[in-house]
Amino acid sequence: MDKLLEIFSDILEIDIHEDDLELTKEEIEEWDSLAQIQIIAEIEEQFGVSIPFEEIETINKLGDFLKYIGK
Amino acid sequence: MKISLLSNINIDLLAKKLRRDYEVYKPEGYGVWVQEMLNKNSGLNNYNPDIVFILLDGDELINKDLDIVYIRKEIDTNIGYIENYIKNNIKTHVFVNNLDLSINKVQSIKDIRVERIIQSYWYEKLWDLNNKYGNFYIFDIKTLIESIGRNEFYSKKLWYLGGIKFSSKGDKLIKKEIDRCVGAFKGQRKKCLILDLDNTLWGGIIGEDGMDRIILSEHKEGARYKDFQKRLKEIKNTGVILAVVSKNNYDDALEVFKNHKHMILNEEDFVLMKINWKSKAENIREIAEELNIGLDSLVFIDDNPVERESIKSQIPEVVVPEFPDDTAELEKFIIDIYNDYFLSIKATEEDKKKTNMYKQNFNREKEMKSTASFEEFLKNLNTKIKIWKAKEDDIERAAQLTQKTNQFNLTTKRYLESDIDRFISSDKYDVYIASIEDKFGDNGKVSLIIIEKNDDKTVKIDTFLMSCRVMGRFIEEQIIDFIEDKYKRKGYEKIISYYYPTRKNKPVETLFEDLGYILVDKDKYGNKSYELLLDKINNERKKYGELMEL
Repeated sequence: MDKLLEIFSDILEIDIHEDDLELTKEEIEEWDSLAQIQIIAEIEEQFGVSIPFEEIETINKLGDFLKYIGK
Repeated sequence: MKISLLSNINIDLLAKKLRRDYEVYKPEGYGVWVQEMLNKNSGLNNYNPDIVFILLDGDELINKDLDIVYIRKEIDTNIGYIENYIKNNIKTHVFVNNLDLSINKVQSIKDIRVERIIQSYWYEKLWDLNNKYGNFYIFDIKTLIESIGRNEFYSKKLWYLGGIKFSSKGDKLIKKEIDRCVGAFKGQRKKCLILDLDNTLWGGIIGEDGMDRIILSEHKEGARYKDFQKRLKEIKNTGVILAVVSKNNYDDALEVFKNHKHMILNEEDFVLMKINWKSKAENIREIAEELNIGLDSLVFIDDNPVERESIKSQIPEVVVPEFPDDTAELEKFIIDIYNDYFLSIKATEEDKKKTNMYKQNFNREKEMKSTASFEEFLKNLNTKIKIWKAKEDDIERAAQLTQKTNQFNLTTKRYLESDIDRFISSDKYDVYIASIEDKFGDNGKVSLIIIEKNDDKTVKIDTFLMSCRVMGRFIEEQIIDFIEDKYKRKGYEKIISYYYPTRKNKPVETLFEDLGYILVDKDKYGNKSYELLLDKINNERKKYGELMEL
């Protein structure tokens, strides 16, 4: 979990805490399409997982990434 | 250091990563790399970067389905654009990658892999540019790709998602390579590589196993160490000085250097050998002191984790890399060490002679101990100081001196080759470079003075530095005498000079006071400025050598 928050904070360049997971794309200005790609790439690399292409569109809040990191 | 990125694909992610460490210009969009180079008013040309990295994707650049004749023509055209930019921007360092083309086409066994031919044609063209232009370099992306494989280096997902080719891992490798290249231009290389002996230069323990049983050979097990030594020798030839710190009986260890037929490194390759039973920290401190270099310019390699830990905690300035668990990795390990800490753009003549120059220094010091007085010793050295206005072929060394000299450096201004070039061609500046020779050998070009003409009456000493190899011999007094005399004859009346304190230049803190300059200002940071009226020159300066202007 800490690792995930670290990825968010690092890429979005703002502090992300556990209670920010409900925040959506619309609410985080820094979460643009480039950041989105970067988050996916980082999660896939660091957790050794694959986020299926078809599901990427449905990701709308930070917490949506949780299900891919095996928690 | 201003950096620019050009590409024919989307490299926004890479640019984002680089912007955290550098000032980066990257044009919007990605089909514009040629325009950016050719158009005089483009963002690139207005930005005027120190370094441009042109990263081209082979699959996007080349249409593989065309006839090879057309492909070659197309490559020639693209190379022409690049050459044009290199020629018109000789102060900008230009990197272009070798081309990588994926092999994903369905084809039969008999069909030729045209990708291989295209890649090698492109590489030949880059090779020509590399030989022709001093400001061109090949960015070796192929080696990066080969290190982890294409599947890892590229990401199909990012490509379909956002037109991005490199994976996160790929980006990181490219970023690391860019860091190395930029670091090399900044002249941040370390100076001395300190090596342990047992289980480092050879396998086994000489004191226990003896000459016949240590592991070192041309083939099989012993080749791990022999290959390691071969790379070390190459590193030494790029101007890195090697030293030994080992807990051993001196004679046992030396026996290996003298008589083992598979030793690549011999005694002469090392500037110092501390083979004794003292603590390694003590030996390492002695090395820094005797060579007159900072502890932070040392890298220490030892297979023993306890020794590594002890150095890390006692002398945190020294770089202590982890030793590979698997000794089959030794060769790769030392190449990485070179790339991370010692990478140089181009080895200069001085670099190749470095070990010898440091050695001559010892002989000088030995002689000093044996002669009666210091004065007498200096007189007996037969020092010859040659000084001249820096020319085209001094630029590389002059820039290197500004970047590397820390102790005898009054203002510690770091300059790039392009800066030095600018000073030399400007009427406002005079750049003098000096070489020092004595009976023990030639030290090469070791001192640099940059004079800025303020007005008809006044000159400023922008830079005055001298390599630590020749410090403490009053050579600076003769050089400054020469400068003063020179400008007095030209009709100047006053010299203004400066001392800016750094962590390392304490030895010259009062140089100008000692030379009779009048302190006119000192700010709260300790920055001092001085002046000297040229009709009041103090001629009682020490003079042990012979100074010649060329």
